[in-house]
Amino acid sequence: MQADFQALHQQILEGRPAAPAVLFQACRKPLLKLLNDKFGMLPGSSADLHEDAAADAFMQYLKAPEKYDATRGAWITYLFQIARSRLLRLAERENRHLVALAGSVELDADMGYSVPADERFDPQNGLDQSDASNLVDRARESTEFTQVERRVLDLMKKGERSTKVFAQALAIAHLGADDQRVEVKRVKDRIKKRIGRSMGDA
Amino acid sequence: MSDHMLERAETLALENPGLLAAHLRRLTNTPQDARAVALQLGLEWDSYLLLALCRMPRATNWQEDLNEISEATRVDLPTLAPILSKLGALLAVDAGSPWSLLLAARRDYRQSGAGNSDGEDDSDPDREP
Repeated sequence: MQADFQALHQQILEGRPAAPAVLFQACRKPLLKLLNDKFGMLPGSSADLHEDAAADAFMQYLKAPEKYDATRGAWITYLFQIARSRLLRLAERENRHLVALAGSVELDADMGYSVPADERFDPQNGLDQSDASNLVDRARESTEFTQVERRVLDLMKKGERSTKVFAQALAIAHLGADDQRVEVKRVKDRIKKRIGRSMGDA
Repeated sequence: MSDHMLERAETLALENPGLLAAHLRRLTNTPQDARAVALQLGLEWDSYLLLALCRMPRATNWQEDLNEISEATRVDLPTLAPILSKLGALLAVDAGSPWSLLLAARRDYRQSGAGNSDGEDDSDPDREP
């Protein structure tokens, strides 16, 4: 049976002492299920990491429960949005050179709750590096990349910045510098978009 | 029940003074070791973690809040009441209430063994200010 999160949220606002524990118990399973449904297929997206993100989200909510606006969507969706941001932030922390890659991913899939700007995922705050790397690895495996694109992705993962190196990987070293830059950017953008789509579909 | 999420929540709750987590740890002489705290308080680990997420019962609604916490944490009232009673005194001491200072001093005196001969229990929540 679905818990009445709205009523429990109201109890939190009223200062009922047991409400945080009751709400925590009520939301943990549905929240972990949402995280698992969305990110469970991605490598590095371990059960422990999901639980960390879920706990962080709940405690962040408890710091300022009044921030939840029922007119903008369901409470559990609100919590999921915080947890998702947190999950990605945890992943980013260990892989700062993937920030641009992960940060370029479209994260705000329509979940029926519009997250205020200050609660959205901020790539500048740093992801968990190994987890971000794992997320990208999983996307790499689950997405149809050509061999050349995989080579480019591997270079991006390593933090390679030289257009010349990317041009060699793409076998376009014979082109002029400007053309190389345009083509490298085009391929990189395509790869980022596919990873983003892969993460969004997971 | 998976403990990982609950354990992380308890750790994070230590930074939230409105929750019991940090205050519970002050009740024992091993505040760094949450499992030892739970053990000393006579609580199951999961119950301790859930209790850490609760707030202090309201003085105006003590018994009802106590019942709700007992149900939410699955800690029986005879175990829970003295814990929260002591916590109440501790928090009131923090707030500088003279009555609570007196209560805490009396409790410490009894716990030292010097005043325990009358067999009284100072854990009655009704005695809280």
